Amino acid sequence: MKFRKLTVLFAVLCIAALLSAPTTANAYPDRPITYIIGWATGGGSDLVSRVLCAEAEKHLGQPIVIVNRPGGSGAKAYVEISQARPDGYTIGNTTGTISTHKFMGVIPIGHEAFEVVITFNSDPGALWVKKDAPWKTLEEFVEDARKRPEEIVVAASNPGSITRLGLQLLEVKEDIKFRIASQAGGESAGPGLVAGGHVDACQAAPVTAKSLYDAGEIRPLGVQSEVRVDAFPEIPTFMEQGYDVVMHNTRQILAPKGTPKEVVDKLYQAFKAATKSETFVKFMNESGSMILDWDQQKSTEFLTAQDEQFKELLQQVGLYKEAK
Amino acid sequence: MLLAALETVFTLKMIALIFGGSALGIIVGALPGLSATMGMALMLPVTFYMPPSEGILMLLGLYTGAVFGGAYSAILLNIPGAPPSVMTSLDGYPMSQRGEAGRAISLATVGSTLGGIAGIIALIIIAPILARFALRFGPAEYTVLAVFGLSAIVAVSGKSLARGFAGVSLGVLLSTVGMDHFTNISRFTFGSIELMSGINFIPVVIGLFGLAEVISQILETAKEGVIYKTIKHLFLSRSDFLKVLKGFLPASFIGIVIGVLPGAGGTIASIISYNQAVQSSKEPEKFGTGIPEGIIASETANNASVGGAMVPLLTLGVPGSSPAAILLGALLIHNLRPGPILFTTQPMLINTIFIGLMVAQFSLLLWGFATAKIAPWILAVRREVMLPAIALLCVVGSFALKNSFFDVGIMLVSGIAGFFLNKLGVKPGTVILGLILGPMFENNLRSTIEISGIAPVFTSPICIVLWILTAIMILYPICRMLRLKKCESE
Repeated sequence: MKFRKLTVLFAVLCIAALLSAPTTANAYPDRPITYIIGWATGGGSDLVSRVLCAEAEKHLGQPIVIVNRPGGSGAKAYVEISQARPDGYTIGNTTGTISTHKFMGVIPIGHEAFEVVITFNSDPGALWVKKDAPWKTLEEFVEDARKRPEEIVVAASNPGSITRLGLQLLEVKEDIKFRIASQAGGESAGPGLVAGGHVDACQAAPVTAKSLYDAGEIRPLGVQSEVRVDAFPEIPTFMEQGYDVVMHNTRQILAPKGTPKEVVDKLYQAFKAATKSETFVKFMNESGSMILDWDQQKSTEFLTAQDEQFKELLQQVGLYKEAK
Repeated sequence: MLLAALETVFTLKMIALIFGGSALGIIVGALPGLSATMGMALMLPVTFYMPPSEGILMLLGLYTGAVFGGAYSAILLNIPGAPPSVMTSLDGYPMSQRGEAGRAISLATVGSTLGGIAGIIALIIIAPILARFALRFGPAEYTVLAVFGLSAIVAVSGKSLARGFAGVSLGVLLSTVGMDHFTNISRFTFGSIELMSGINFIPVVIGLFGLAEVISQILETAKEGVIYKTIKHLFLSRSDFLKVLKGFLPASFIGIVIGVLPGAGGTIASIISYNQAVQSSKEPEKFGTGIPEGIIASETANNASVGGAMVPLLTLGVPGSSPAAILLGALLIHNLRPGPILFTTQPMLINTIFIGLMVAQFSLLLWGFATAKIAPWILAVRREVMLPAIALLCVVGSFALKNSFFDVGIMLVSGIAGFFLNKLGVKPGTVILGLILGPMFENNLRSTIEISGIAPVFTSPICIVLWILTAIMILYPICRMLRLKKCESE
């Protein structure tokens, strides 16, 4: 019985695939859109995308089917999206790794191999210490690190991650050295390690650290955005404390290169409306994440600048590698 | 307040949502490749349009059901449907091969329900204390916890300890494949992006257990078809129930403690609990042959870990497992930030969660007993139909995980390898043990060394306790063996 049902299902799917020939843009979208996430179900990129897509499909009039293809911090998904038919029926999301993979020899492509639909979210880096730590300000922390090179232990993800680059940018600009502890599980382990007194500090986005910050276990020294984050008006930026350190992990939606302009525009309008929806705004504010709605031009300008920044930084920390 | 919460939960709609959620969870859990995390992530958008209590309770039902559901496929097909049921298959499958599948499911049901209830009681009573305890676990503590888990090698290797070590080493070796998080160097990836994120252990589990069993059944045609006996008792026989009660306390204790730790979870809880059950048993050699104690140890512990995982989530906002991370997302959508503040600002919601979780445990009892008689019918299906169907399920399950044919390949290779390993007397459980605990040991050890050198692994109080427990787990069976030999020679 099970067999027969599966066979029928398979046959129906095949016919559906055959019938869905390429369509013109004015009818777009007339069938479901596939949204590829390069990270596992339940991760940060996954949750935020699911909330966003649930809203965007209302404006597109077609369901958005989410497909997770985790692998190589998004690398597998980037390659797949770039090779999909440029008709707007295959899209997917990025993180900052779109600007690191190509400079670390992971995959040869970056944002220029795509049409960027929208930049919808940014999570700036931030530095956190335990509630009763001796450092009251970022300046005290940096000056102490200058006196004691490689002694202050800071937890910060794996080498080449955006989290770690944010910390290393501070090292490079101030010519100081921390003792950086890698976390195989990414930045999410950091705040717990700080609260438990296992490390002196951690680099993690406010969205990651918010719970333990709200619980009063850890305390921020500064956030690496240009302006203060809406959800945390009390946390000063690095800039206003006199440190020229800006580091964001942004998320974009990508479509394959050559996707018609009308289609990209239509997607942009739908996702822009989704970023303004009540559910999405509530979710992002409560998580402590920043909402953006940059269009293709602004996103491309940002990514081009980010490429330059990351390339230089990766060269400085010795991780730069030409992609094959 | 408690009364008001009771009123919220005990409405027809709420009860239906919890029971429906847990039924869905059981299906998700029973299908290999579909996990609790996945089921909950897929249902998450649906909860946007429900009031917070309804959405959260449905997800809680789903979570509870999914952790339990894995037991079905572990018992009936020898494919652990979800990682926490790996240990369940060790005794569950042999038992069902004897024709006692109904008994195995009943045991798993009662064990899971009791474990789940114990977990929730711990959550209600000592949540804040447990949360502090979880924070004290740093990389050094997790390193030794992994060693402690590895001491289960004695329990899962069967007759030959040497072959057990071989199996674990193979597992550890496989776990080193992928991008090294500390140096960003790819290990054994041969330039493949697929291998960069390592070998996922779920397709390996499906292959080693499920497909290997299919191959051996095809080749060993002389073997009799599966016998199916109806169970005589509606629920559990008296003696089985007493065994459940006996195994319940240590298993739920282990489940709660391990569940609380954000770096561990249900799978590791069931490994450690199974090991403890073997070591404290008078007849350790009977484990793995299909005895009730094995099923009880594994299923009670993994369901107790659900309550445990909720502790850091609700008190500190730190999710103790990936499904708990999705619950965090669901709470956030409704403007609810877990943490100590939630207890004071939303006591009503917290009470509703507690009561809802409790109801979810009882839904397991209903679904478990309702299916204990029906589910084993699947074994009465003729082998010519059954075996290809299981093989297909293995393929679909390993594909579904990441939508990746590469994982199907991993499953096929593991299946063939598993068949030969079985022939050589290497138990598949040992490979899985290495695959799960290898990275936990390596990553945490290296992290400890990066932070402060190796010293804390031997000096931190929690580590010392764990070392002592490990020593007991390893030395006790050896002493017993020596004593037995002495008796025999006299």
